[in-house]
Amino acid sequence: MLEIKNLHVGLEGEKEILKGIDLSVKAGEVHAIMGPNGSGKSTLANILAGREGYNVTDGTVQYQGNNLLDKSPEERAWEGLFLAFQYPVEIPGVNNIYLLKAGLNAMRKHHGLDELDAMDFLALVKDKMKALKMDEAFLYRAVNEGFSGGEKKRNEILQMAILEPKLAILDETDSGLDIDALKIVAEGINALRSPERALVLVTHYQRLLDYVKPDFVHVLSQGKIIKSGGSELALELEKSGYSWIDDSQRADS
Amino acid sequence: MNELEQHMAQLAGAKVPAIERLRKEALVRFNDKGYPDLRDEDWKYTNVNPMVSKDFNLKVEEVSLKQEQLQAHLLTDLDAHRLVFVNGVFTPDLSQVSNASGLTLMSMAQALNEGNEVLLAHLGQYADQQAAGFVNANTAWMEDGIFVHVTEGQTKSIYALFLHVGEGKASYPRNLIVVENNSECTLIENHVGLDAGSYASTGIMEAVLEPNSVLRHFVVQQHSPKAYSVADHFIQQEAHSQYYTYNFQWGSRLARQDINVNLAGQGAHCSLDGLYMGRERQHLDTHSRIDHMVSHCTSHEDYKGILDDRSRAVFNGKVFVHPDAQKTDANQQNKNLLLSKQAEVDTKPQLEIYADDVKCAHGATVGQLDETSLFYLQSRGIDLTTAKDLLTFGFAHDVVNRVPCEELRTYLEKMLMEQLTHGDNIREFL
Ligand SMILES: Nc1ncnc2c1ncn2[C@@H]1O[C@H](COP(=O)(O)OP(=O)(O)OP(=O)(O)O)[C@@H](O)[C@H]1O
Ligand SMILES: [Mg+2]
Repeated sequence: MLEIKNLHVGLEGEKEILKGIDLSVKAGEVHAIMGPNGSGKSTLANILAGREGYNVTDGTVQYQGNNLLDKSPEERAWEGLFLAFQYPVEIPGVNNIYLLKAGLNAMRKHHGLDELDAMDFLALVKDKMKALKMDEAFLYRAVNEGFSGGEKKRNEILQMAILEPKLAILDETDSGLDIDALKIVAEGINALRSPERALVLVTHYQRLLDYVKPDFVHVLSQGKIIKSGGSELALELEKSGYSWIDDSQRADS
Repeated sequence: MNELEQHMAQLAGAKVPAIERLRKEALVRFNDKGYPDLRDEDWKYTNVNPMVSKDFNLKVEEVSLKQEQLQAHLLTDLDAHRLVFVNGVFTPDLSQVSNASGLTLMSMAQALNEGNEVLLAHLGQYADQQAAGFVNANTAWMEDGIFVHVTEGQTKSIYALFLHVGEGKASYPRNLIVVENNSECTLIENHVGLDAGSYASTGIMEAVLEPNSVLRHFVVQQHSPKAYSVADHFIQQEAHSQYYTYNFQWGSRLARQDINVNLAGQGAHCSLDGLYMGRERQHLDTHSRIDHMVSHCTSHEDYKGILDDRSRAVFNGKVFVHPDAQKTDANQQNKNLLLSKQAEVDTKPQLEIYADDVKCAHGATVGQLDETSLFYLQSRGIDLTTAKDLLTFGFAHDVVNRVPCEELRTYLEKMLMEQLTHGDNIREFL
């Protein structure tokens, strides 16, 4: 589904952030990406979703067999790629429900499907909100405006539930959630799991992975994946932290 | 008699000596000073030569308007007295004024011809006689407009619709609003160019707010893209009076709006909100001057601007806190959004404070659409054009949202949408 090869990314005219990433994600798989602050996890997520301001200096990214990097962010969304933001953005003046509906209908149009009318859409969105234990009042508020940190994260999962992506990249969606909310969000994530879909979870903590068990865990440090393993790797990291990285990267160079 | 003298002899109030004197004195000053130019500090960014060097006509042939041209602007669902002016002249057929106790409401031409006593007591008293040549020009040739005198209570809204059709007319609208003790008035002024004609409008409004009175004043300026407009408002506020104005402008090739508020009585409050939006080669200039003359007055000003293409805006907000104006509370904000690399704005807050116990704040910003917000919308499947429209509309809508009149808000939203967006794609977001 997603094939990243030797990806090098820098800021425009500045330093390199990703220094040769290789990652292969197949349908049905769950990958977790962990690693210290500033190691490049969000940069990787942003590049995949099509954010501007970066320079790809080398490497390729294939998504569903096509070059991903020359598509606009909206085309990527229509083709089933979803990014849950580490810091969801407040959009004053735009109601949450209309963003959800317009996004879904633009996607349906792209696939030659009829747009959902207001009634059908409302039924759909209410159903998803119930599962996420979100108050319907959130539909009629401006997107993320004045939402608490946890409410914003839950809203990201609601958007994901409506758009039903093929490849979802969740950037620290578990950060800032209370214990109950974490469980609800994890259920929302699991509801989406299927043999046709894939998930990439960027996280700092084992606790999300207790609910959504990854098939692979990768450690990203200073722009490189320096270690990959199974779900047990996350448990090891939880115990030992990242102090070992220094030694191994020093040994590398 | 030359042509100009002939014209003046036919103007409203020509038979009322006091009015005749007012006009003549203004004409003398005008002949002496002429129009302002770039050397004048208050006009250094706005060259009025293209406007004043053109030969616009004081009279044009009468026009007949089609109902469908008007319908959108009549605001028929608004419960209001409606006075409609076509090319500057009151048009009774399109107007609807009913009798109401506590209210004298008529066209300015009628009030001038009658020599209305209240009118004579106030006319020209506030439009600073030393001011720019446009004030003198208006007083010399003022033509029509509205005269409002509220003596008690709260009347229903007054809707003054100034329609412009065709080419070449020079209009001199003049409004006078007198709101007595403890009474309230709501006035909506809407200036519309119905086709793309080139014409000029030089307007003055004077408003007097007696103690404890309230005036809500909405102004919508959507002149033709080839029009030239200058509008100068003079607001005189006595103790504990409240003036609220909401100013929207996106019309005219060249537009200048001045608001002068004189806070002359303790406890008076004024609030100026506005939005200007330029496209193509429009030049939109907003000047305001708030004089805190006495203590315990508050003023608030919050203007936003959106500039696209090669348009240019000027915002100059002066606040003068005079020596007696202790306990003044004044704040001012101006935020601008530039949608193109060629668009420009000169924004300048100007505070002059001669009292020591005051609270004053001001800020001005100029920025572009937020990249992160655009990316967020796109990542949710919204195409880039729609995403830009949405964020721009959101920026503007914030000002529309403050308007405390639902029918007007709905109208403004519709007009905004036509101005700002690439079609219907964002309508459903509202
Ligand atoms: N637009 C930018 N301008 C300047 N520096 C940037 C920018 N984007 C990323 N960086 C830098 O690139 C590095 C990687 O940042 P990134 O956000 O990808 O880290 P991260 O692994 O997601 O960290 P965290 O765990 O704290 O979220 C950091 O040093 C960051 O400061
Ligand atoms: Mg990050």
